[in-house]
Amino acid sequence: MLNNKKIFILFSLVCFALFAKAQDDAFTKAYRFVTAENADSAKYYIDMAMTEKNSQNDPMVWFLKGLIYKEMYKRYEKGNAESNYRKIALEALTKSDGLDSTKEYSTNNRSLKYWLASTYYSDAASLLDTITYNTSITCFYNYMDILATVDTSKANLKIAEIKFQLALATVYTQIYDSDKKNKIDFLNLAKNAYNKVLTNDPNNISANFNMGILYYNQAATLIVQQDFEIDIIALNDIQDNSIKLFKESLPFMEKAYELDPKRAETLMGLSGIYYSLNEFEKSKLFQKKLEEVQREGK
Amino acid sequence: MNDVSQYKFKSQYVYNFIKYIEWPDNYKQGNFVIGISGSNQDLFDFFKSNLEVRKTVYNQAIEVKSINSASEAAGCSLVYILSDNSNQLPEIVSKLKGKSTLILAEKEGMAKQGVCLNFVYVSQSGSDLGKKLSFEYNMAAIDKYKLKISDQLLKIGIEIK
Repeated sequence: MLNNKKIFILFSLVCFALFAKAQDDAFTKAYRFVTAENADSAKYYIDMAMTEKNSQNDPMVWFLKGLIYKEMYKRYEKGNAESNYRKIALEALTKSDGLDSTKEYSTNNRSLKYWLASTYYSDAASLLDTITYNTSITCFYNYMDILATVDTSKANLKIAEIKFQLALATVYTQIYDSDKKNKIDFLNLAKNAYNKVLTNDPNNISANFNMGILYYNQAATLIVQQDFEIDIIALNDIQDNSIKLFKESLPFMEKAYELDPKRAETLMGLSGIYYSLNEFEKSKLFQKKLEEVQREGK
Repeated sequence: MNDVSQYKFKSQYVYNFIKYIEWPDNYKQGNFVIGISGSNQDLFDFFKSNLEVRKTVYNQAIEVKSINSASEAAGCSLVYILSDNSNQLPEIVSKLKGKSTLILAEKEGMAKQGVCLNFVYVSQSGSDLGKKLSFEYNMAAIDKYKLKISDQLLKIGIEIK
């Protein structure tokens, strides 16, 4: 990513001819103030410059507006997920791109957008908790939307999505764990998040393992939460339902095992699942493998 | 968690057995004593803490105790022989002549050997993976101990002759 100094150097070259011609107009003043790190005055003059008819179709003016509003964001609204300065900066840079038929400003626009996108990512990361997860999601998808316009590599988008969905699934699981009876929706949201990871990366060990654990814990909770005095017919149904869930956890845990056969947590998970399915011989087999791994690790 | 879920299912089954089996009148007073023969202390503790807080349909307090010798079985309404003590069955049966003690076991083949009920793991229909805790019943043994088993249990259990 280009830093601000480099952007200014590039920008200076672009603007040299213009300054020779028009020393005192609002645009020039805005430029002078922003290079003097006086963003407030720069904003005042760029807003004035934007009222001029010719400016509306000038990619250079829109670029400068983007740069100045980015500076305003940095100074006054950094860390504010709702920052209006950041939104205006991005709109201006996008407008500049749209008007820039010769692609004169595209590198600079891209650099600034990339920087602004990274601030959405930072906000998404810092807001990802059990209270502000919704704002975090909004910030993350703002980041993704901008990134898609400046980084044509689909691989980077995929990696970012995987990282975020894994973290989001953990937050949803925490919310579900805090009140399993009333927050069942969050269990489904966690599953959806892991499914998104697995769609992008079917061999993701963490998503496979955690998905297996989610189903396993759901079955275990079903058993623990049932009223002790339930009728024998209901007891029979609970067994059927818990077995169904234990079975659903199995392919994910088996995949995690296939990807890393010596991971202790997975071996423990498989032993637990088979035990819960009352497949005691298979459970013992994975228990033995776990003991071997633990011996080797010593 | 695994063992606890097993204990929970088993103790819930036992509670339902008490509910759906009728003992002769002289067993409907005093404490309803469940004797556990075997060395699984965790299972014993689970049964004790979860069943002793409940009562039978005849308002009897449920008492769970450990049986260390076959002769202690005679004072129980229900004797649960754990798998590690299944070889005690002939001796326990001999001490229960003329009594109405329900014998419950948890080892393959025990229903054929004369216990009334026997916990088994059965495969679910249409699936070769995942077994469910269920029980076998031996009608001859149930009759021998003068117990009446409800249709509800007969529907769910597996008859062994």
